[in-house]
Amino acid sequence: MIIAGTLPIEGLDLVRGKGKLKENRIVIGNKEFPVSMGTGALIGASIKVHEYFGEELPEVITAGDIGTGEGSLKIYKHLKDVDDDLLVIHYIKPKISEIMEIDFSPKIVADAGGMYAAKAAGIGDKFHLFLPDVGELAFLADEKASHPAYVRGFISEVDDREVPELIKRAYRNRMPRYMVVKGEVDYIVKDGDIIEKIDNPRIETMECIGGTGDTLTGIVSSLISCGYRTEEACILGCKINRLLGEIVNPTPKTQIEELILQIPKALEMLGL
Amino acid sequence: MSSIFKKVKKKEEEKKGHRGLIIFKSVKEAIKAEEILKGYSIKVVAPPPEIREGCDLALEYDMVEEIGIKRELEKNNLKPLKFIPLSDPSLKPLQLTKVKEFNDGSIMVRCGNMKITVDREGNILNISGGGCPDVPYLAMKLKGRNILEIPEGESPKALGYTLCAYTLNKSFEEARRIVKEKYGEM
Repeated sequence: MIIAGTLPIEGLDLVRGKGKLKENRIVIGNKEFPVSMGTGALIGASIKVHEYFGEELPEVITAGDIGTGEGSLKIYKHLKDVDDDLLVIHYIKPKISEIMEIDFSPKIVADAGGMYAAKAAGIGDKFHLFLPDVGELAFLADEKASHPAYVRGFISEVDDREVPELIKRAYRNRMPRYMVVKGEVDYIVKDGDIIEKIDNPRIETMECIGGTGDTLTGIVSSLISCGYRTEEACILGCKINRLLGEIVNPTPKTQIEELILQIPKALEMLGL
Repeated sequence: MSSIFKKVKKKEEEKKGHRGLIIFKSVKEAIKAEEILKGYSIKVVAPPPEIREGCDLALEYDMVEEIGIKRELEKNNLKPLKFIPLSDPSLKPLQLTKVKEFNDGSIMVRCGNMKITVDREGNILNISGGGCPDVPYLAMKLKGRNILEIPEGESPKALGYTLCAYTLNKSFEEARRIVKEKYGEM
């Protein structure tokens, strides 16, 4: 499994290699990075899952980017020829011209900027799995929007309870076979149909903790990498992420590192 | 299903008149230009589809004001890529924010895909959502600080480069307004 995404470190050149965890830091070769929200949280969660199952740790392709797009372009270049059967694209500056050029032979899981770029380019059906939150689902449902910031009012104002309607609307556009819509209720979608809803345990404060969506993407894709069928991985991933909330009992101030550390415990509690 | 959308559909039609678009090299430049051109009748919109890359911002302006706008941008060393007549004004960045309050009095403000959580004193507890690379950077820069004490020059709009930063700024401004109003700070 390959994880591709930027880290918020100005001037960091492209780094490629197996990631491992040293306390709450990610180590790739001789470089160390914090496990913070974004790609860092996804990498941290993914390493924890792979370690638990005793599988080979994921390869990481990263570069520093604070929004200029410089690091993102370096990563896009490395996605033109990918030597693995599972690729996860995460925080990256959305560039239609670049995402069109990547290697589509592996199964591709896209979240954050990777998902924005794929939808804006109109090639969502070339991907295996998207993991939007409700705001991002509105973007996927708006055939005219090229970024979540441009969702038209009559779609963005639709209440969270109308998620199934938004899913139907999104699938009128080109979407991946699988989708996990994360929120108060998590929806697992296959070919446009909701196949499972997970709403328990419900920990309200999880939504405001930066990185809980990133850990979900890391856990689900790692379960796929460790041999679980995609449907199963999506359902288990949502349960594990919610269980992390129950274990940690977070406040709005809780930081994502605390939840990542509990991943092995959550996996064990589910008997995996 | 369509009735649900029809029910909440708002009138978005506006008089186009003699309006045009200013296209910039980056979102950062467009944000800066928006600040500079506050006195003009401008609004931020999506660039035309043929040049859109997914994370872009353009300014819609009144063509009557073009000379003054050009002079103002030049004075501030901003060089737009081009000025073009308006063709599709239907897409503009989100403005709507939603607020959720927690038991301890802290609030989470969401605008589109971007969320910011502050406690009742205005301390920024968390930033979540988004997908552009400056979001984790902004989270690092802003978390732990008090929203009422952050100067304009260090707001998400000033530090960020992308549309996610632009949207986060909407949440940021609304959170700041609520803290000021609700708890009478400053």
